[in-house]
Amino acid sequence: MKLKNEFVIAIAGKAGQGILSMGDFIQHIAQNVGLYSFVWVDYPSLIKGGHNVVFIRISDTPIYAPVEQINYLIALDAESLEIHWDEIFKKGVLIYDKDIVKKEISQKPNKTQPFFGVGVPFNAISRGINKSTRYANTVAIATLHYVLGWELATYAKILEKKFKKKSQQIVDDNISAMKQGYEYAEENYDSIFTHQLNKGQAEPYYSIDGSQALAFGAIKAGVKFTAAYPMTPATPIFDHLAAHSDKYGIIAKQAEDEISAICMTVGASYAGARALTMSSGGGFSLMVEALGLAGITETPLVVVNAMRGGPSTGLPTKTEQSDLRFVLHASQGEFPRVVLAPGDSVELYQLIQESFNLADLYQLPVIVLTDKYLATSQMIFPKDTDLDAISVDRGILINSQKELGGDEKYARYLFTKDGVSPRALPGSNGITFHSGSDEHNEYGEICEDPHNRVKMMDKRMRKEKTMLPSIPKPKIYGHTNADITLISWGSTKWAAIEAIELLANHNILANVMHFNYIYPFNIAKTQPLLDKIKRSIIIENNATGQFAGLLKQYFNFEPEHSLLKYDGHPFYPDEIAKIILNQMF
Amino acid sequence: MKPKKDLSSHYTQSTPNWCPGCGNYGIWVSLKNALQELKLPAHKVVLVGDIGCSGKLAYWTDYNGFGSLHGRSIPIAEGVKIANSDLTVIVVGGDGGLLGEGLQHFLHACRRNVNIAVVLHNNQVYGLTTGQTSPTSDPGYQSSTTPEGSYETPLNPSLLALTAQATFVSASFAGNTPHLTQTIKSAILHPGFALVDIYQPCVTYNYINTYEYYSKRVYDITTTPYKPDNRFRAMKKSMEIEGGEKFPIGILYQDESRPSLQDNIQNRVAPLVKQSINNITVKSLFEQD
Repeated sequence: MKLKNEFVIAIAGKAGQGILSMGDFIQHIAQNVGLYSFVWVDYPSLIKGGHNVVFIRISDTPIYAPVEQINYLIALDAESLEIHWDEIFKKGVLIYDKDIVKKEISQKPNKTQPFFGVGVPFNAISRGINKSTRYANTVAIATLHYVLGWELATYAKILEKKFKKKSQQIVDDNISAMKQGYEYAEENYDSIFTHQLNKGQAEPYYSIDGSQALAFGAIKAGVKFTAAYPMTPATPIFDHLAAHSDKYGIIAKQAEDEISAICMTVGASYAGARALTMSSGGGFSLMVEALGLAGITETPLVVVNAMRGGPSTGLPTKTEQSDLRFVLHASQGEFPRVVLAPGDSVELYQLIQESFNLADLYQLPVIVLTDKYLATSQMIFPKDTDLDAISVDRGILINSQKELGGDEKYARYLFTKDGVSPRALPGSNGITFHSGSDEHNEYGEICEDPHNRVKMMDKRMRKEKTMLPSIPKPKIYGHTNADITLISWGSTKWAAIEAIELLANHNILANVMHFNYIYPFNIAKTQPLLDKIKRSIIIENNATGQFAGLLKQYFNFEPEHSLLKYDGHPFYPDEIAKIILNQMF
Repeated sequence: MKPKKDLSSHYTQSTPNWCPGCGNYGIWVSLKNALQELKLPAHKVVLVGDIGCSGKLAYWTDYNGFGSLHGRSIPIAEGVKIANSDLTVIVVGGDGGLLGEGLQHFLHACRRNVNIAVVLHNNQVYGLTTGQTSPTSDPGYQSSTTPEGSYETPLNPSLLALTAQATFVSASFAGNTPHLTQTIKSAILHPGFALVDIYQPCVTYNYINTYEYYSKRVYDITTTPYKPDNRFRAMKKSMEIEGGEKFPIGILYQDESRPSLQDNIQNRVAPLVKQSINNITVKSLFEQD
């Protein structure tokens, strides 16, 4: 096996077979014994059936990306075996249900089967316990324990904790299934494939997916209203907010469509609540007109676009970074906006908070780009991360006529040097004002006067310059003076960073320049970094190199090589390193 | 120099630019009278304007006004009301925006029973875009988009609202400002979604549904034994307009017993804009599971 101290377990079967909860169990066990984990999923767009896989990467060193390997495959149906036959690593192990897989599987590797085979009657053992197959998955995980040489104690504890709420009988049945599965494997298979990675000293971490990280960050930022229409892969963010809505005083409203969702959000924000809406590209397409409304009325707005394969319905459950250009230019006319693209769970948690601050400070729409891969992957979130690092900043608020002094009429769109006009909320004592989607004067009154138009456009657009001190430069990971720089944005961050080490094995000194503040660029701070790059490759999950185009436009910078992927899957560190080795050195 | 503001008047200094004689003036006056009579503090009222001649009304009072998008005034108003229930939120829009472009929002707001009042300026044409056919235009209505005459059956706003479970459905006439004032007042006071469907002459493009036309045909249902407490009867009553001869005005239906969206929310969550958002702790979210 081509392993350092890590391996990947894949669990494959049909939707509805409990694959995700099996992945959760295994992740929990690994975390409990001090190992790092990274979990990602691959599934089609349907409810029952179809081919589903959850991957659990386990290591004794921190890991933040998916890898293209399977060391252990738990196949819950015969189809999974066929699909992944060629992907199981040499001397890996196939764990399968003897009664379901009719194909002849050898215990030991041979010419046509390069891996070990361990067949255990998952379903038959379960039926022996309570006449149903509900414990088959427990048998399968127990079998994995035997194969890995893991002790059962941790698993037993987790089963107890998880099912105690339901009934002691269910706990007992699970323990029984676990023991019988392990014993069956022990009796019938030699322990010749055990992988010696059964404990570690991982720094304490939370294993949360991107949707959780984003929702938790939004709650921290004080989101009080969210409206959305269900769309994969954005919905889990809404679900998490709804689940915690009572505790945190949030209204989560499912709207009749995405247009309503964003309009309700604009309305709630205009009234003064921090408000969030989210969708994937299709839903975002419907939201576009209201994005411009937020722009011209200078209403703070945070929108998450969890990208998936497009165009149109595209690949509903697969990942892609192809909406960048779209969100940058979405809506008619010109208005300032911010686009952010977090690259991992910590960045998701923090940048969504920054988004709310930027939206309030500069009174404009902020779009946060994530994707299916980030939304659904369970990443390491170090426990020592300061959860309170970002404080709430709501910008300039006028609370009453008194603050204005005398009988001066409040000008919602006052011409100011920095373009930011003091904001009042409707309901502020003694103040009334107009906000409009029509071009307006300082008082929000409809105004088509060309002189006013230019002044008002300039005022709004000026905010993009005003905010520049809030916009950091890209982050560099690895040596500052590398032979080659891998440029990543958003979710390609960690596949690129992990590739650094793989390249180092070939004596190539690489680093990563990661962009998560996408627009506006802080050109003054960023240009010198780009100018220093010796050789470069840009890594993007789209077909047209959308970010590379921005680098050309704003920095006159052209990466030497472009690595584009749009097959619906995220990048793997291996494939990045291989391309660089094969095509650039 | 900044203009001084006379807070006592609530009448704006910016002047409407509707056509002379437009039905919008009657609605404008009635809405302002209703708000004045209810003695609502100006800063606690938000008018959300749709797009079209009618929607501009939101810019032309001294109450708060939010000029929105075509068809989207209702969800914006819902968001405002959900975030701050202390505000009186009123939608001003036309038949094009509310029944064409944004029909879905209209229907869902009815069943959602959000505590907003919708003042529907129903002039049966797209005025601002020069008189095209609208969802409520009469069959045979000729315009640049239907030179052969419209052959589609018009929507019936009150009937639609009733089928979508609205708890307050009323009709009035822009040419009868005392009646319209009272009806708008009742709509604002209703604890839930309220529709005021207003027959509004468009003096520039609609030569059939004129002041004279409606004056001859509207009748105040309070002068009849009709009671607005039965949804089925209200549906029947609302269908009288479909003959084109009788237009009942007044409250067709009212149900104050059904909880509004706000009632359902208030039991669970403190008013959104009043919550402090500094120093929220989320550690427990990470710790769970």
